[in-house]
Amino acid sequence: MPPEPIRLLISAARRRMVMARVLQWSVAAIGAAAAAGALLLGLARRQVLPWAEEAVVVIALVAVVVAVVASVLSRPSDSAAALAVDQRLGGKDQLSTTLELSRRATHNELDERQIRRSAAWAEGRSLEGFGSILPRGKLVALALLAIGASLLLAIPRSPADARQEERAEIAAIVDAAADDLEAAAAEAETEEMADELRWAAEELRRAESLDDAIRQLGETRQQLAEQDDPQALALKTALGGLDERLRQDPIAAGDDAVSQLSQLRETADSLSAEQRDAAAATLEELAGQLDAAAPDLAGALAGAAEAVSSEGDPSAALDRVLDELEAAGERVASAEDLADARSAVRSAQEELGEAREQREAGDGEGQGQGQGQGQGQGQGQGQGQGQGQGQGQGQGQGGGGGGSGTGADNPNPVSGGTGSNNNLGLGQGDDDIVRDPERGQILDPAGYEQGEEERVDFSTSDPTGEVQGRTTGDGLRNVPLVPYTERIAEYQSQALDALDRMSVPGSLQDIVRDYFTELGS
Amino acid sequence: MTPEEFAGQVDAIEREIAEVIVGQTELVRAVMLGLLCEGHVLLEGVPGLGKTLLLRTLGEALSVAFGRVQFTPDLMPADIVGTNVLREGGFRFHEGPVFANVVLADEINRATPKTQSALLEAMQERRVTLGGTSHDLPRPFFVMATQNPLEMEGTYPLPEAQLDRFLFKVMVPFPSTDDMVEILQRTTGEATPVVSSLAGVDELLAMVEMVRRVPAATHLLRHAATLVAATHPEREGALDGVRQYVRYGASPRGAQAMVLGGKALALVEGRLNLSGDDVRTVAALALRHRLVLGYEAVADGVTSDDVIEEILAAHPAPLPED
Repeated sequence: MPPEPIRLLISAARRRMVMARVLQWSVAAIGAAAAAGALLLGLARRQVLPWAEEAVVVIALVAVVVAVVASVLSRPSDSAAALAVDQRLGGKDQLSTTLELSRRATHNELDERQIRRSAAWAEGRSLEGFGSILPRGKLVALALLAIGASLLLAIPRSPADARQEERAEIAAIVDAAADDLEAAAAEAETEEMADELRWAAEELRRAESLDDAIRQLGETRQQLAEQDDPQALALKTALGGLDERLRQDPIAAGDDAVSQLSQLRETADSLSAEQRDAAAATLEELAGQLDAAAPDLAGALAGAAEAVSSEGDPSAALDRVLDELEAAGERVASAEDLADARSAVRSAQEELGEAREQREAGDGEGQGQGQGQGQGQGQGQGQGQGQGQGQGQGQGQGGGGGGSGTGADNPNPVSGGTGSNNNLGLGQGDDDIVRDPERGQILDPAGYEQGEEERVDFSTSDPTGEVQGRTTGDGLRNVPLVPYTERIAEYQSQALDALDRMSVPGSLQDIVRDYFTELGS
Repeated sequence: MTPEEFAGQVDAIEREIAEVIVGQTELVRAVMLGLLCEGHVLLEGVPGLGKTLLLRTLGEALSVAFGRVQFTPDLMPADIVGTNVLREGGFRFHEGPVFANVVLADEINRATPKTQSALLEAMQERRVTLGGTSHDLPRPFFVMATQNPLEMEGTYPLPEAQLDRFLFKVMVPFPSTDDMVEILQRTTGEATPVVSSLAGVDELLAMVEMVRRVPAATHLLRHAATLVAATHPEREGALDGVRQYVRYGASPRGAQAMVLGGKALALVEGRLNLSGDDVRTVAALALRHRLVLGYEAVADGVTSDDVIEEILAAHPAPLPED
């Protein structure tokens, strides 16, 4: 057993060495963990590792715990502490020698003197000068460097995570659009159309990007457009005209054409000659009106008129009229179903288009930061409320207050990034067609006279961009106006023919088709 | 004798020698350490540097039997160890100069190897065998040899086995200009310094025994062993310099010399225990003549001291046992 002063000195030195080792190994462990974390975070910037930050923290904690435990378990022995005291305090190996001597059973006189001299040397000796317990500066610097590198890699948003989030956002947008399509499929009148919309929804969910999804929807729209029945609108208009005409001048009891014709069929035998002639005249007149839009129905009406005016039984002829009416109704319903489907697909495509624009605006925002605020003027599609005559297309003007500095002309009141584009479109229009024949009048192309030149400015937008233009033409004088239901089919036919002849983008063709579809519905 | 008396006696002897030998304190200290270890010392230096004077002065400062042998090419072994002579009816052993406490073997490498080897048994066994009869040498027994650099004319290099029996090999440096001035003043004047005898055989033996009682921690013994092991080029982890220049490393006698010399140094400096610094201080003294260098070392001008310095740099401090 060494003398008390030596024991105390060695114990104090040992504690100090343990503390120094704990600190040094901990710093080294943190530095190593930070370096490993920097590598991991660097890797996470290239590929998605959502657990990277948590893993770095765990690695650091585990490293510190391991370092502390290991340094305590491997604490220096008394001999090592004695030697450290000798070396650091100039003991010339006397403490370590004395410690070893004290473990021997026998001592000679010189040994005893050595022990006493060492005890005197250790008595009250301070460990000042033994060395700092703080880790070496180079080690701390390296650890700080590694920690700094980890922070530099951890704090900025990881491009891989950003891409992942962007993919998730796009997937959510596409899913929402697909949900809309499936909702439209649930409301579809025909199973065939429902299947088609569901198929489109499935294809949409498989899209890998917004562009892909928009292109997919475009193809779906194209397929639906190919199924378009160009005569359906005219037929629907004609049927509407038929109902209207018969309400004004009924040929039998009933609210619409089908009920009146059914009633006529039942009561034909009991009608007077004048009544039969009047009904036949009406049917004849109707046949003339429907000759262009629904020739089969017109033929059936003409046959019915002839059968009614004759003395024979008109039931067969009226049955044929009713059959033709039913067939026409189914054709119109199918066309409306198709229109609804196209409308749903178009809405979905527009949603995706807007989402893409917002994303692109957001990207531009990020790139344009630091350029200051910009104020732009843009033209946008006006959305007016109220009632007006005719088709209104307003020119909108709005302040594009955006932070992007580019004066984005996005008329939509939402924008990506930090800027806001609140364009208030001003315009007039009538998006709620009033079907009052007195008010819903339209130009009769057959009866106009040439007037002064007229100029019409227009602008419109679709998901692929904004189109502005101007048309000029001869004005009208003494404009002959007729109820639009009488001419809309002709307008539609000419418009669709023009579309076939002209090179017009598919999206704009859809707008024209949808326009006439809406008018007819 | 107490350690303090030991240190005082050594200091007194050194001061007495300093009356004759100007400067050369390290040389004197090295010779003293060899003496205190009862080890043989080989001094190497060009002629005229005071090697013989130093040893002769040391002999005068000690009240012990002093023998001197001037080695020449025609010196015979009997001239060193003695011979049997016919006297008064029978052969009687006539002791040679080796039968003394301090033997000065001057210019040992001028004798032939056969004559050099006559000292071999005396140095190691501390006795002489002649005609089947062994004759013990007196204690203490020191051989203090001097030699000229090997490249000089008319020299015979000492065999490795004999070199190994020298505890230390001390290189005698050329004195500084100031020391030369002092030498000139002392040697060209009228007065001749007189050296007093300060220690007898008993005192010297007591000092030698005290040196051996100095405690040495195990990690210091291991450090000495490590240094010796590091001189061997064939060992795993040998330094590049050792691999390149050393043909044979030091023997265990080298470690013994380091520990003993270190103990003596500790006592001389007033300490009671061996320290790592003591071991490292005497490392060159103990190892330089035990390294057999290859021709690459000669070609590159590398000396044993250069190799030892590299080894010491590679093994800076003794490590604890556990």
